[in-house]
Amino acid sequence: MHQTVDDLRTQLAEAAERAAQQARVPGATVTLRRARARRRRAAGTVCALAVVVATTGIVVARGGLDRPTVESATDPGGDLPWRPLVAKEWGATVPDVRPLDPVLVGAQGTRAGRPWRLTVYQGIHHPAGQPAEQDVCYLLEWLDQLQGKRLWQVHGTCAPEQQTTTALAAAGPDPGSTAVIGRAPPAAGRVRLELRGREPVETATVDIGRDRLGRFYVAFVPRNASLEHLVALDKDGRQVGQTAGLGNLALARTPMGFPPTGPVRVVARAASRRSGTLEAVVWPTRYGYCLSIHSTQGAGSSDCSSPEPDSTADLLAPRVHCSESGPPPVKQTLVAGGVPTRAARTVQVEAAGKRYQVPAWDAGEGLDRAFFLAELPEGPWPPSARLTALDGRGVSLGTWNLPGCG
Amino acid sequence: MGDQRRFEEFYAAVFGRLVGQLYLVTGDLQDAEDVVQEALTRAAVRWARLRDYAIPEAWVRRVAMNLASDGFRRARRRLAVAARLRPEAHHPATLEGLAVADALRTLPLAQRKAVVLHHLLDLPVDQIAAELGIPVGTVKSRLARARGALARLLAAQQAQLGDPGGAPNRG
Repeated sequence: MHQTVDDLRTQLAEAAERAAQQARVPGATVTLRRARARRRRAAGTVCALAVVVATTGIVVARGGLDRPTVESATDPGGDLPWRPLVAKEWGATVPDVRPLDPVLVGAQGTRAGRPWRLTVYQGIHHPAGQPAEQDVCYLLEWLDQLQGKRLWQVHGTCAPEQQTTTALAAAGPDPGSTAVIGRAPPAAGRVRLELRGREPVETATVDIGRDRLGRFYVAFVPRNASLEHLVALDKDGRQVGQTAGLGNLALARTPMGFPPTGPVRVVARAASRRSGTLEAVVWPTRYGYCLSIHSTQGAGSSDCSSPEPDSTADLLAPRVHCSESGPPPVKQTLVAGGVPTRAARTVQVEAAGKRYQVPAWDAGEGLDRAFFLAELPEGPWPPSARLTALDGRGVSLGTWNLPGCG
Repeated sequence: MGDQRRFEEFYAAVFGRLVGQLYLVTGDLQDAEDVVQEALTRAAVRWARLRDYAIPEAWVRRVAMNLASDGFRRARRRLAVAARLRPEAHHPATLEGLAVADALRTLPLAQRKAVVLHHLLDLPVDQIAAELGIPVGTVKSRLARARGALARLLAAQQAQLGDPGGAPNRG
């Protein structure tokens, strides 16, 4: 017996060698192509969490619309979660955020028959070429009731310790409500979520016994509510913190990205033949921006700047978004983004031998672009698209060639 | 272009080796290929930074190890969507005649990782602790439990075969 174990290394090496010989190598070319696509899409590679990352990644890889991520949140199907990791293991997967012990459970409860818990831990965030900083990470974990502690879905993020008041939408199993989770300053006894056209929702904060991390909250609000603003209040009702809202929570794709560090803005809108109204929404984050394109029917995808030096530059630039839904399979193509001139009032899109003209909106200072959103007719994905930005008199302000998907 | 060539060389050098290592962790060849491929894709995304690492392979292995969680099998369908460009693999999930791989499959995932990192890759326990994000003592106890279990399993397998001399490297 001892001899068998002493020989373990040799046996392991033999087994590994045989597996290596049997391995089918997809090839570096395929890998590089996928990596380039991910870089272009910069789909929240650092802080969006397990399921959220997986869902987003796939949605974005497919181009997005009609693959509603909200749907997966309401579907207790057996193929979720994508990766049922504990927070620590999840954090260890992310090279830029190193989790620190302890991982704390700040609150727990049940919603729509499914248990949830709020998990909090600190991390060291160390993006390439930049100094390390302390992060605070918080996750809303939905657990599988049937299997005890098994995770069903996770939403969460890591944000700089200095960002003491945050809000993050976290869809769950209840089709009628969305959880909003986040941090509040240590003095905050409660937070008030100010909703457009509705009574505000107030919820008590949770003290997790770590003053430095502040307090945390989990609030459930109607899924189609629009969160305009979040205010943290002390025990006397004085404001001790505030943060920008997330907009329409039914449409918000903020769970895929990072907590906004500024206003969430709808920058372009279009009527869709299949998906109701389409909106492009932009909000600033620690790394740059998140851009979400979603329909009023709930489908959508988000891209967020990541700390990778080469992945942030073009996030807001015009792109061709291809998606397929069905059955029967239907191919959709959107062309959307911001042209780098605020004077544009119209964008002309030429694709597959046809020409379309859509309005462009000045997004104002800071973004310094005019955004547009065009849905092309259903059909084969175009191999390329050509854009021309026009001012109010129809004078060309610039032309851009975009790679397509065909 | 130079970067691309360097990545291609790196990929060619490490893919098979990492699949071999991850096979021992996942117990399933296709799972191993998938986690390694996913980890290499992530490496490609970060290649501008990783290329300067002393051992970029260690980073890829760490990511692959983390991906090789218990839930990965259920996740494979989803990952397969993202990885739809990879060629279809129609080869056996497990390899016949590898007693140690069969025995490893019966151990908890955490123990399998520790065994592979220590006994196959010769990593010291403190490095394993850092890589897995667990205390050194936990690594030691996992290794001890795994060794004990493997000893029993391998001995039982040999007894079942009735011919210990049939296996290579037995004195």
